[in-house]
Amino acid sequence: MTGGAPMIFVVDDNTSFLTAVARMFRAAGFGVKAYSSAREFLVERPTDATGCVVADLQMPDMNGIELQGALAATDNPLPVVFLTGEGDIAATVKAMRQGAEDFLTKLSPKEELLAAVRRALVRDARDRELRTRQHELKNRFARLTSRENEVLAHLLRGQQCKQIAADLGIEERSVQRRRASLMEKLQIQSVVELSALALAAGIAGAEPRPLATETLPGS
Amino acid sequence: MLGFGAKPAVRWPTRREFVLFGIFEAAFYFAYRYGMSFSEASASPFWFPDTVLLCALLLSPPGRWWLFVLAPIPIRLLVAVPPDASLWFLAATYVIDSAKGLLAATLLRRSLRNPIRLETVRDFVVYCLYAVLLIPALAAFAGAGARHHLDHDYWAAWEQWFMGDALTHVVITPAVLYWVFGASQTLRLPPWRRSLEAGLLAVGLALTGYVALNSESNQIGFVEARFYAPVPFLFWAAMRFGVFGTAGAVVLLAFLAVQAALAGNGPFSQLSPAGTARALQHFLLLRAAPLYLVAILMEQAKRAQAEAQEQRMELAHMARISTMGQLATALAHELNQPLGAMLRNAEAAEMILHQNPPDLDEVKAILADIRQDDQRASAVIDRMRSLLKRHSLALEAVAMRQLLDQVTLLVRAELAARRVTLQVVMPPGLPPVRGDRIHLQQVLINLLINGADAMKHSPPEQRQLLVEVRMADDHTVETAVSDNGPGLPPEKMTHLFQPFYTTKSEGMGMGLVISRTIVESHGGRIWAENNADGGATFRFTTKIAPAENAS
Repeated sequence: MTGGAPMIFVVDDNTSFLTAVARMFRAAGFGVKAYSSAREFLVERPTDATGCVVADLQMPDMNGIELQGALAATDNPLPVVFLTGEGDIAATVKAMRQGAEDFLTKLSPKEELLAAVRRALVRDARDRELRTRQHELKNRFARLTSRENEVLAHLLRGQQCKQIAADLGIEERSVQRRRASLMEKLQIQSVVELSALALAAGIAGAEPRPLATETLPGS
Repeated sequence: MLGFGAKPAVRWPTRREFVLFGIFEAAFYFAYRYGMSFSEASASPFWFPDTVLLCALLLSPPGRWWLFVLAPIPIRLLVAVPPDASLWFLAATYVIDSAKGLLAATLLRRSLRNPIRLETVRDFVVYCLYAVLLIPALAAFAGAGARHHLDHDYWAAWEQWFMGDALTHVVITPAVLYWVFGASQTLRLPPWRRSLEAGLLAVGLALTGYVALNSESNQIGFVEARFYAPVPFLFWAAMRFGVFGTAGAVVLLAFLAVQAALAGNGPFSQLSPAGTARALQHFLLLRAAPLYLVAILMEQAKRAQAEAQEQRMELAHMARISTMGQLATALAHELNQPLGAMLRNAEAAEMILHQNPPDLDEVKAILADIRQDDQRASAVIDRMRSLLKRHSLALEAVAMRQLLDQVTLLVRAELAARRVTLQVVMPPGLPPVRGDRIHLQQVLINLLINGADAMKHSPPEQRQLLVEVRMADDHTVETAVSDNGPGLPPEKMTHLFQPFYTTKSEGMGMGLVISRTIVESHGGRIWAENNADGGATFRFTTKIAPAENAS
């Protein structure tokens, strides 16, 4: 997952603005790629690209918001900075809700535009690191056997080995063995770390405590 | 003009009033001398002093009327009068004349708009009733009474007196009011064609008038026919040049008639002096009055037409402003594109110039782009401005391609915002149409926005507008605007082009009405139909421009 140096991907159907804004970013020292439509960008972008997207909000065919939606559905959701000809409040709100990095007009000062892009690049780097870590964690969890997963689910509910053994109808020692094995595979030292790790990896069953404790009396 | 709009307040006379007074004195002098130059038996066929006095009174505020009533006294005393006129008779005529003038001016001021223009039939009838019939008739009773004292036949004197007064107010007064005092208000520098027409008319009238009025005998026959020779020219003047031309024609004819009668020529030559004068008066009175009526009717009709046209223009203008209001947001967006591009380009150039070494080729390219974007922005603003301006109809050869380009410039952003795509299909080599550029643009914008409105609830990928331009026949270009919406309900088809009928929640329902007015004023037709494969199509026709005007 290394997309090389971060790039700014500019998407605008207005060719003269596209050229101009690409020039400006290039002159400011950024790597820039320009696309004249959202579809063109989605098809032709390097899938492992790093950086951010600067997109026109109003475009025929597929507009900026739709581009953002499509991008969010991929495993490389680059942050999007929106540019618009005219401040459209409804569209702004929608874009911000969907997590738009920034929302600027085409006549915003250069400084604001560059600052927004820098923020977006920082966010992309951070998100990317987070995603990489999550990915790596998921890989660790993926190595667990189904029996280890059974034990894991019970551990995440906060049950002790005795209880788990009773629930699963196996010996307590087997539970302890499986627990040691999964902790080794997940590279953790204590059960306490387990829930934090599962949460970071986005593993089901790693919901916050209250939910888990609620299931206790019934078990 | 002189004295127009002056308020009847006591104040020092203005320069204009001095000028008016000077003109009055001179005019009255010549009028009076001319009137008195006839022997008392024949009397003047026109009593010009009445015209001079009435015009002066009508053109000055009532607060100054005393001046014009007193001013004739020295002239009346100084001008040599016929030897048999006694002082009391002169005094009586002075009193009667002054009373006539004051009465006529008061009545006319009250019942007609000031300044008096005789623009409607009502104006003319009121004017004739007071100034030509009622007041001269009343005055004639008094005048004939005075004459009767000098042993004249009462009714002969009455008729003489009445005709002299009446004739001057029919023949001369309107001409003075129009030509001398209203000229600058009505007479714009006429184009050469119109000047030429007026010249031809004047020459024709003078020639036929001369021939008619100086013919050797008054027998029925060829000469009789010749007597009517000026009539076509008189009607020409009335139909084409209105009251203004009629006044000129009538004065010219009167001048020729009086000259012929004085020279003893023509149809008036074989009568007694009094008989000649009477025949002349009847001749002119019966020529002038109907002619003025014709002229006024023509002017009224023309004015009504012009007013209706102006109202249509005003309505179209208001509709354009409202349409541009609808497009304003999108147009601001459209303008922000080139403006934004110029800004980014300028910023880029600044940064490039700070680099070492600066990439000057890139800066050159940037400057060229800035220039282009500037032109783009100007084009949008120009289009907007020309559509927002008040505008009078200007028919010219219009290329449909160019027209659609200009329209696209204005609606592109709006259509983009509504996710509507626009496709234009036009065969190459289409001849230009004859039309008003702005109004045809207005029709197209209206139809395009209507089409976009109709597709408001369609899924974005279906929102397609199609403009198809084709030759309907050898002289007609048909433009069709099709949408992909739900189409028109059949029961609404018949109401589409009626005022205040709308299928939309916003808008007044005037767009299609105005479009129809515009298309029909171009000699075309506009109609709507549903497409076989869904959606509606609006079609309108325009005539192609005459070949020599093609651009």
